[in-house]
Amino acid sequence: MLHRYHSLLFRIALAISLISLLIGLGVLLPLPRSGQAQTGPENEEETEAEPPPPLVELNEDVIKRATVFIMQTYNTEGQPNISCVGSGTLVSADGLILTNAHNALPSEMCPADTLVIAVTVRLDEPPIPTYTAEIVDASRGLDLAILRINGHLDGRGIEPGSLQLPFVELGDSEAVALDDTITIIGYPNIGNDPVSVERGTVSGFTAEARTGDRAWIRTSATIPGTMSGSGAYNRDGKLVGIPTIAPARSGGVTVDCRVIQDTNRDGRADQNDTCVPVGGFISALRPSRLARGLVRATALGIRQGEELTGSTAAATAGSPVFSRPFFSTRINEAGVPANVVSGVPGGIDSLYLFFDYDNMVDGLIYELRVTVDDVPDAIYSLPPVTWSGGARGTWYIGSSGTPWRNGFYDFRLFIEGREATSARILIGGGPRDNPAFSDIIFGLLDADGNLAGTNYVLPEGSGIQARFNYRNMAPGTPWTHRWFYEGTELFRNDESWDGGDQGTRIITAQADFLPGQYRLELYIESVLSATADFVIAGGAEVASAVIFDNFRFATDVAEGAPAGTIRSEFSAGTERLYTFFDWRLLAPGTTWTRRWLVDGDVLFEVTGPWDAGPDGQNYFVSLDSLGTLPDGTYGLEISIANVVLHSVTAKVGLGQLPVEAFASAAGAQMVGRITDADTGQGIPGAMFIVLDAEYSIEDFTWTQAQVLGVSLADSQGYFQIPALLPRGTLDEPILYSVLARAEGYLPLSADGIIVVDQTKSPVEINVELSRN
Amino acid sequence: MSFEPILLAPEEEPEELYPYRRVWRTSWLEVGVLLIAVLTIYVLTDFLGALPPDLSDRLPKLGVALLPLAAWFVFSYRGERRALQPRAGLVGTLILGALVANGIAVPLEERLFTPDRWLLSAGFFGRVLGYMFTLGVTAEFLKYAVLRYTVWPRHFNQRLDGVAYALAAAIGFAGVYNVRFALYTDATLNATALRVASTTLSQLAVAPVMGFFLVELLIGRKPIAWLPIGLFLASFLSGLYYAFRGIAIISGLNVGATGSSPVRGLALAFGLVAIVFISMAFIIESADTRMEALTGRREAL
Amino acid sequence: MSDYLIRDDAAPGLTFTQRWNSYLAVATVLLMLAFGLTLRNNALNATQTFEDLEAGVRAQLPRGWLLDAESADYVFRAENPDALPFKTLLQVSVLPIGSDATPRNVLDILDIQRATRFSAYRVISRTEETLRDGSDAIRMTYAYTQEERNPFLESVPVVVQGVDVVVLRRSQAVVITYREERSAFENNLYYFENLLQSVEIF
Repeated sequence: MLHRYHSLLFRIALAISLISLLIGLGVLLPLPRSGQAQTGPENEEETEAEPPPPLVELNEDVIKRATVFIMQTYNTEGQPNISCVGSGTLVSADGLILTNAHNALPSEMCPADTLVIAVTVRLDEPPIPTYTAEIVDASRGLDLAILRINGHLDGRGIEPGSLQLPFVELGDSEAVALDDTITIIGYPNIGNDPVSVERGTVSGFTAEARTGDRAWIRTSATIPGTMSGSGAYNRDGKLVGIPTIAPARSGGVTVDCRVIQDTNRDGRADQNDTCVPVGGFISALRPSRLARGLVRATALGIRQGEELTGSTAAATAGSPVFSRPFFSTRINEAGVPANVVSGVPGGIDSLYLFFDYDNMVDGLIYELRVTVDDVPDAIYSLPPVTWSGGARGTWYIGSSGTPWRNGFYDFRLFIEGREATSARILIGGGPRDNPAFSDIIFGLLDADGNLAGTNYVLPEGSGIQARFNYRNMAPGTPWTHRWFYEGTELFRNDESWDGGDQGTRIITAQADFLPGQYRLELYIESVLSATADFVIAGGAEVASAVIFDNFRFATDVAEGAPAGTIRSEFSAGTERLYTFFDWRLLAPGTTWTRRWLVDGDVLFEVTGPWDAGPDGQNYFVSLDSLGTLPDGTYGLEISIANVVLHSVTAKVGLGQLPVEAFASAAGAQMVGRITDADTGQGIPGAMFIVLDAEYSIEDFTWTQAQVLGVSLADSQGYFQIPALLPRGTLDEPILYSVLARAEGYLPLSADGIIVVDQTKSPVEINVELSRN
Repeated sequence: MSFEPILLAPEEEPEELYPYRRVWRTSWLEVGVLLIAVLTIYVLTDFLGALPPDLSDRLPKLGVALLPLAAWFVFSYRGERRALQPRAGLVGTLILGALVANGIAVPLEERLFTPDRWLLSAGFFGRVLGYMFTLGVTAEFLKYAVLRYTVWPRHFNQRLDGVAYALAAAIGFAGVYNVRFALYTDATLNATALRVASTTLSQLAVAPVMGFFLVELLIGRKPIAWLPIGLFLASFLSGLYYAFRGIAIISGLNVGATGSSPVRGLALAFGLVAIVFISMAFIIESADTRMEALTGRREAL
Repeated sequence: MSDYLIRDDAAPGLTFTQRWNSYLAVATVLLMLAFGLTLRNNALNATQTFEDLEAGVRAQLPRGWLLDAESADYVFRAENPDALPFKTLLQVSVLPIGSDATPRNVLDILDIQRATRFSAYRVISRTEETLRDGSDAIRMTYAYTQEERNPFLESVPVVVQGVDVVVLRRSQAVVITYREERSAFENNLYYFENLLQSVEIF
């Protein structure tokens, strides 16, 4: 009996021992060898009912780390002083920063010889000054700038390719819709607070000449002034806007500022010292569309090169002025007002204030204040922003797509804080049946008596036709058409209406139309009813104006003529690209626009007055590169009055940009912590390796070519893989293999870390290394 | 007139008096106490949160490191003292085991063998061989040497004597590693407890092998390479344990998985000690039974 | 007690088998330890052959080190992935030089380059030596502080000591480099010496 009892005990004990041994060997508890990084809700039934999430949701942590604090500093007596501060956003891993131009360019209020970049090392802590940066490109008018991190704060340079910083991608700002939720991430203070997140909705759009209906995105979010230059993001985490506030001025629109240093070295930091402006509040965002060209050009290492400059247009003299304000409810594709209104019925959703300007300078601060029935309205107003229209011309500002409620609207325009002009309009009531002209367009009559070559650029000649629509006209109504050349009236005709009630009419102006800028104004009973500007330039060819011709591409210029290789296809490695062309009958001062494109995307767009003589040869513009121009199809477009007159292209290398030309932030970041399993403390210097997706642990032969990214754990054990992990899809996931190594610890490795388009970034892997 | 009592139950047979400490029983008790204590700390820390997970004060860790020693004194040593025929020199064996560990094994490991520099990334069989021919053979030889040159053959009277002395040496040997781990690392109490239990159990598991081979050398005709075979076997077991532990304490690395599983290391050590104890008990019992059949005696040689 | 097969008084007298078992046990242990140490040394000194026919460099590198031969800045760079906190580095690079350049000129160029890239870069010594194949070389020892480039990681700078051996070959200078954390520099210098012994420039 006892023996049987012992035998039973023996068997039980043996069974327990075997089970323990097998558990220890991992046989009974199979380990997960692969798994999917967080891919949203685990319950599939729930996910079926929900709309598909965006491919990559907004990830605040990554954006916060990509947001930098910019300090403009200057030296006095060897001591650095902070003059102005702002925010910026990293748009490439190698340190390109998108920000406001006024955050970078020195000014009277913001003297700067060094730009210091502070980064968010810990999300809950203020930024830490880490780098210096240089301005790569800047537009005072658009108030946008691209900076490049060029050194460490201690003066050491940056090794090429060594920076692997978190960055964000530019989104499609044209896709932003009214009431969309946007998230603004920037620094709310003068560097005392951690990076901040403000949420709001898109409350409207402000239109401006040259940039169109979406020159500004308006938001309901409350954005502190120091967040100017930071980023506004859509739900996908793409940057769609740059919060922008007018630069601080020592006079005019001076804003609140803080004294933080003894800048005059008198031993005290007081009101006698220079203060750091902190601005007011931001309600306008520059669409990322306007920055895309700058960013792409900088990423490609392309910049605008030398160009032929003739007698520069007369420098602006006198005070800037705004004049001839009038309203229009429609704008055509050429940016010309389709009508002129002094009162409109209720229910309209677009209204524009047009005005002429003179003696303006890009970068001046202008502002539109709108009151509705004497109550200030923030949506239709435009806070102080920088001027981008050049010296003189016609400008408009307004809004479309937003309902305008009924009331008396007072529009007041300010330049540098001074009121420049104002206009009033009544919105409300039913449809009006007052007589009106609209939709002026110019052209030349062909042999059949039809108006041909209709646009706003016409060849030199002795006759011009203008076609316009009319309605509610009664016979005998007095009307006038006045023609102007360079602001001076050429002639006027006062007539009595002899047409029908409504229709289209063509009028002819006979004169020697010399090259220059012209304007037609149509009046009904001495009230302006329609107006349009046009340009006379070039010679006639059929009904069109031929201004530019003989386009040639070359790699060099010698004595003002093409040199080097002259053709339209160039070998890879070309350093510069010149475009030469001849021109005729183009009046100096005529506003023209040139656009450089690569593979169809606009890199540079410059609008300005024609600065050469009326006729000539070999005008040239050029593209330069930091090294060599990347392979691609380079295009130059020339337009006047929004009419593209010429478009030419040249191929460099393969004629297509390399696939990897632009860094993509669409991949997933991998971060984590490597700790000692016994102590729970980080293992400084431990190595974490992510293999290229093509390789598994078994394939890994310890060559760098097989490695996607390596990171060494910091003093706390944290690591951050410097490269982004390309994402797969649910159907075709990408699997990664990872390794963690440190001397004295059992190495860890795993295959099958899945990264798909719905994987949340950063993918966090925490590793416990064990000693044997 | 007298009445004989009427016995309703059969008369109890007088229990056979066993004059020695029951080595397996006390050893199992030590293993059990150690496991319970360690698992209690583990549950209190990881599951109930009663103990802070980052608790790494030296005093409680030292207490845990000395727990196997205390258990040995409570169960084995006290049991020995209560036995009719106590084994002599157990404490001395234990101390000597500790001394050779601290004086020879640890320095050799840290200064000469440095297994962490070359064995951790080796393959499984490489690890078995590497540990076997460095740490394994050193530890088993030192524990063997403590027995061979002190209590053997004078105090080896029966087969279980080899086990008892070998376990004492192993407790001393493991104690040094445990105390060093508690004092010289920043490990948490939880990790220390798991490590102490794993180290102790692994030492206890392999030690009886050489004890058995030493005892058997005293009995009958054994080959001239008997002890080398024993050393080789014990070293192999030790190497096997280290190699398997390297696998056991690593779990899957992934999002949400840390790649560490120290509890499985403990399970491995317990499995090893249980298998070895049960196997040794079976082998010794069989040998004693065979000897009893031949000589009529099983307790003493 | 009287039934003991071996009594206390029998202790001094071991049988032949017991005695030789003891001897053989010791011998076995010594053999096993020797084998173990051989395993250890083989593992620690295991090498793999690196060969770059274009650059004309062949060398034996520690096995299991992360090898990078992708950069234009060097022929190869090998780092010990396990080393803490600095990854022990061996590197061979080839620099084009003018016909009048001397090894010292090359070191001057390296100094100037590094001074702008490395924090607290200091040259410790320069000595001339002769390599195994009889070619003249110059050895420079230097130090600098290595810090984490990623601003989002907190790391204390590591003091790194390095050695360059420069040897001229036609119109090129071959620079053989070893870098290690200061306190481990001497201990791991044998990696570099092994590399120097094995490197072939052709």
